[in-house]
Amino acid sequence: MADRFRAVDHRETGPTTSEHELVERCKRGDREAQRTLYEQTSQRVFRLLTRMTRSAEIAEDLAQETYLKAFSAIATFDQRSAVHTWLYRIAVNEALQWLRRRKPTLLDPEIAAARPDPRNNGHDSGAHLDIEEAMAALDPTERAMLLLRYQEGLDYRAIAEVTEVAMGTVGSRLNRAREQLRELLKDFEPGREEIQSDKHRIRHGREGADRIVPSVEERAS
Amino acid sequence: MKTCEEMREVLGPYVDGEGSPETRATIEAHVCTCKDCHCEVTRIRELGARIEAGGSVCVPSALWERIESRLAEAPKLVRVSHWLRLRSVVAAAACLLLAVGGGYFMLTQGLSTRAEAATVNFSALLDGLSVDAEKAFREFVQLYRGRRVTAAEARRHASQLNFEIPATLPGGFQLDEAFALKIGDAPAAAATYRRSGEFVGTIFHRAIHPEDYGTHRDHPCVIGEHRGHRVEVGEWRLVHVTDATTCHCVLSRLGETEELPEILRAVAPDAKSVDHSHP
Repeated sequence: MADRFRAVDHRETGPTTSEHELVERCKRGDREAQRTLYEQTSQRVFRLLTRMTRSAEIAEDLAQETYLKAFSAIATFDQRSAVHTWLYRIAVNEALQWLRRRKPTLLDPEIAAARPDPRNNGHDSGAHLDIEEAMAALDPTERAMLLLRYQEGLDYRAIAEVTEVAMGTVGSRLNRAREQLRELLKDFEPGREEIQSDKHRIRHGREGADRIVPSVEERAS
Repeated sequence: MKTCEEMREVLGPYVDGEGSPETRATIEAHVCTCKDCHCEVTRIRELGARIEAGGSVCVPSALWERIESRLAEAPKLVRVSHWLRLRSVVAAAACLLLAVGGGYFMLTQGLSTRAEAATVNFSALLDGLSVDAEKAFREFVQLYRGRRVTAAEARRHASQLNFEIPATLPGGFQLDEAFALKIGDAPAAAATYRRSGEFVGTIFHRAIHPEDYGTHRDHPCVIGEHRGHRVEVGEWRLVHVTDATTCHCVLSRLGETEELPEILRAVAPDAKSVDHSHP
């Protein structure tokens, strides 16, 4: 699946000569090198930002900030990791900061629309969460981890580096994110009539966005 | 032999290609003989495929031109938010704030100029934490012309600042080294502590100096009675609490609810419930 994108671990192999030279040229302010680096990486960066923010317009703004910040700080990039891993880190930081700055809403409208209506005895209202809507309900850092793993093909070490979480917690956080995602998708499957709206509660997340998550009781049952 | 319940915890990493060959072989043998775990592996793979399938986007054709035009600007204001472009009122207010703030968001270019800049640049320190935190701390001290002194000399050197360098920190950390620093033309100080190999670094600088975390992110936090900010890199966290004159930065792997509150109390006696934010 995503293995074809598997990130190169430069702590074991070192950067390729061409990538090393490209980064060195960028450090000297070479505009052509900057453009080449952009062309080689922008698809990944923009894709990640689009799915983190669910807005191409916001992703475009954040991609700008990502590259401007990267070119300004590239003198400090020591090439222990792949340059695209480093760019992912900047991009994820931009996305998480944007999500925190965003005015909190009780629920994203499409997620709210898909929630079972308690006035209808909790029966399915007919609207359903798709994968993007369900992803939006996750903790933003864990959403980034899922995207880095399954969309971008990073291994756990690279994911730890990008998201700046301890390496030993990547597996458990991905487990938790997958479990929550499956619960959200399962509960909103068409025709699933046993949904009880009180199974869910709205929790204010650490990142400041409001989310739907299964209750602790539900997860334990 | 693991039970199915125990096995469920490692099926995700297994599907993701993690683990040693021996571990993977053990899991594989179980999955081949257990229908439930085999189904779980299939479900994990299917979920991964659904996540991957949503990833088709097209990079806007004008994006590079927009980046390039901003690269050509000098000096470079690197953070102009989405809203700045859209709302002139907000833009005017933000420009005023930027001017008053003295270029908080301006990035300096190159290591050689950082020591002279008023901005305290933590990016190299933070970048180095995952490799060798103590070495990264030493390099930070060198960057700001650190010279080794006694704790008393460090306090005299930065006498306008409000901080403590006690001989021991709560929890049994012993003072290792103290340093007199210069950030721009302003005196600053640093100290390192050890406890059975555990390292704690402290940095004290004028509160008016902006801090630059490079590509790392800074979060507000509450630690004990202190309100401040922290930047986390793996197990390391750089916590900074600020009083009216001084920013107190503590680099450690200590828990925020256990030892860190006591240490902040010891080094930053007057930076408590009020967070004097940086400009």
